[in-house]
Amino acid sequence: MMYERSRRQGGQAIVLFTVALMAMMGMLGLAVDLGWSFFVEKQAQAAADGAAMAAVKEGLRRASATSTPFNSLTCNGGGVNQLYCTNGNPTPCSSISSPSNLYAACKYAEANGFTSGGSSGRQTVTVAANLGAPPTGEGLSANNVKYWVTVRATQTVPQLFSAVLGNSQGLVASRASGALVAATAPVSLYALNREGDCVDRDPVDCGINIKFEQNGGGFNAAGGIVLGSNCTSVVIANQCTGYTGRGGTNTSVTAPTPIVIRGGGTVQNPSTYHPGTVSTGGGGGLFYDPTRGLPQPPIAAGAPIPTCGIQNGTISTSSALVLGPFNYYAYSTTNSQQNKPNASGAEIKIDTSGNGSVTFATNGTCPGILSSTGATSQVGNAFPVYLFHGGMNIGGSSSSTRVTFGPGQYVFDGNYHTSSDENAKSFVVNGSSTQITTSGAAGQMFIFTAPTGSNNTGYPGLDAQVNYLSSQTATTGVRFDTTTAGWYQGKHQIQPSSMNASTTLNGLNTSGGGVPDSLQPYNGVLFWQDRRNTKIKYTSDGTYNCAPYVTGGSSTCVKTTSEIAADRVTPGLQSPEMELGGTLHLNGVSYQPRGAWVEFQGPGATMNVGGLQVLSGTIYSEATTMVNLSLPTNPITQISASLVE
Amino acid sequence: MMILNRKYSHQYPHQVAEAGRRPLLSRRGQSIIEFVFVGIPMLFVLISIFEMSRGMWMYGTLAHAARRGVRFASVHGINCVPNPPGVTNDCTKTIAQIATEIRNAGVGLDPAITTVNFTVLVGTGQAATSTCTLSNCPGTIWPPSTNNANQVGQRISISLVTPFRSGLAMFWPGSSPTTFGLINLPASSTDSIHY
Repeated sequence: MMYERSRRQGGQAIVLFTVALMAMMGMLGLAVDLGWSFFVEKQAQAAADGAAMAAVKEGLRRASATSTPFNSLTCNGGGVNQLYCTNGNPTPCSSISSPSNLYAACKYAEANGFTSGGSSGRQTVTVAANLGAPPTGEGLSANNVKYWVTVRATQTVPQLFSAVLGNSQGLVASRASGALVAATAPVSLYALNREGDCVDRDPVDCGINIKFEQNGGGFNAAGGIVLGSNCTSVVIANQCTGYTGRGGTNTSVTAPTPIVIRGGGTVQNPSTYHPGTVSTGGGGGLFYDPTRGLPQPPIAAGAPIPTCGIQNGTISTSSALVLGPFNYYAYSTTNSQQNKPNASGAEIKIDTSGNGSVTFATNGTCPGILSSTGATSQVGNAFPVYLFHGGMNIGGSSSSTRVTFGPGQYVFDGNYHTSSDENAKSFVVNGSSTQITTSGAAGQMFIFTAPTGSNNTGYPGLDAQVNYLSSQTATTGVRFDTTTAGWYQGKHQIQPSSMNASTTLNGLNTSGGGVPDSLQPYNGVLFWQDRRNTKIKYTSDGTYNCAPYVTGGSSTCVKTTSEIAADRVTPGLQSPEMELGGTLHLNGVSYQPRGAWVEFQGPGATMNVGGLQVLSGTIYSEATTMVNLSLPTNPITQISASLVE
Repeated sequence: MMILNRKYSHQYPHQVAEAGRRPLLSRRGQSIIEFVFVGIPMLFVLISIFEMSRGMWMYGTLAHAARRGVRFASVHGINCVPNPPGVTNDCTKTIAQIATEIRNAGVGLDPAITTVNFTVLVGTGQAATSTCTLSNCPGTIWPPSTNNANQVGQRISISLVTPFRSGLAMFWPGSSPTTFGLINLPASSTDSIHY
């Protein structure tokens, strides 16, 4: 019976199986082929991500190496320090070779298993690069992206089971874009000093980031705090004077997120830090100068601007006086033979009384001797340049001085003195009820610098101005030129004697209108201290020219004596100082390089500073004042290489 | 043996019968018994393979989706602005938009029963967190600007949990034989905000 049944029904299973096989192969194809494709896609994405990052990181290094302003990058593509572009066209890695920065992309793709024509010709890797913003990204424009690299990695996957359904090949593709982008990081307080960076106070403080001079007062930083020194309770000569954060039990440091400390540094009274501290390893990333990659903001006037000599440096008025964009200096007398003023090197003193006021505005005039030839006027410019030689002292003789700063770049070209003294000041605000206000939407950018030193590493754009001024003054006065000794940067003090005095200033706002192209990368900058005015060796792009500090050794970050002299670092005040006091409404960025210090003075119980982002070496609390910093309104723009898509 | 015997029985039925074996007719139940011994464990193994594979596939999909979600969010941080710095950022992404990205990457996941947790980590703490069902995520901006959670370098984490119901559990000794077992598959991915 069994034999009989088999003969009649035996072929049925074969037919059914054959039909089912088609569907089963489809299912198998879905599982095996698709699964494999997903796997390959992950690898391709990893390769593309790594490749795109490698190309833009190398691009950032090159852009920094040539000190080209971020806004005027070019695709020369001719050497190891040049950016390479493909005009945006995808170019296979087989046609890209060293020294192109795009070659880094190809090498990284290769390290991740993807090469042009690799895997028996099944792979392709193409790189596209250009200036501006990539066409594929989202939220990217030429305003915030200057250079981009897109890497596409593809692999053809032969189909094992899906082939039954007619698909013999499957293509897996991944794309990643990296770019040089303008990025912001609104941390309220960046203390950059590291171990071995000493502040020339009495006593000298080495490797300290925050210090309270009184057992009281505090900092409340809405944007968070980053400390760059890894010092602990251990005292090491010339390296660590103790904790990175020093203060008594009645002080307080408050931020919305834990205070970040570099590599194992600790604070004296951890319970006064809210909500605590967190220490992270490594020496880079967050703890670098946030302006690295940015050259110093240049003087925004290509040609010399007219000079304006003020007799005895005194500007005193009881009426409304409007001063224009000129190259200001003080003089004592006029040399009758040379018919030129004898420059005195004194500071410009501004005092007003009654209803008087001084306003700096583009349509202003010169209340002194104006040079007539050989200069290009800035009058009428939306964002003009004002230069001051010898310093500025506001409210030194009148307690109720009123000064308004219009939009523009205010350059303080040092202070003339030959000895190390407390009077080495290039910008001072005094008085008990001095009122400093601002006008215009584009904001102000204050630059604190000094003339070029003998090794010709001057501040960008300043030499032409100094040399022109030199030609406009008598040779018998104090010489303004790049070789005269005695010009140093000095310190900057907003130190009125009462909280009745108020200072309102807003940092550069590039969308405020009329801001020159050369200043576009410096959005937010209110105070900029020349990096040369520190003992720490900076390179032109804001990175440090030194090896990490070795415990017990000498710091290679500190300049030699001759380098200090050449850079016009103030004698006896080798760590640049800034003091902030009174009622402040400061918005923007206060930049001081590593090695500098800033001091908050009060004198009231509470100081609301405004949306200021403070970058300095060490931050001091001088009085028992509670210093409140609201979230930075216009934080520093960092150039970074990052994935954007 | 069975097949061999049957083959012989076709060709030499009489010899086999003569060899003293029992008649063919009386051996018909043997295959059923053998099927019980071999077939049921084999079915169990087969179903186990299917279910385990399905579970791993779902986990793979889930992990892939979480990674794609984080990758998407990490390139839409505070600096994703088509306007000059200082002008309002209109490139920000909402939780719902990130959820859509996750859904697109996670083909086969049921959004109605998949929960997703968004977290931003700062240091050792948590700056922000939000949980929703993948199909119904809110239109709030992520990462948020509160506590600086949208800054470059902050770590974004996305955790997905989806229930995986498997018939395999019915075979488990002691489990109720009528319900499918429920396993919550978790997957998470973390990356820092790139820009």
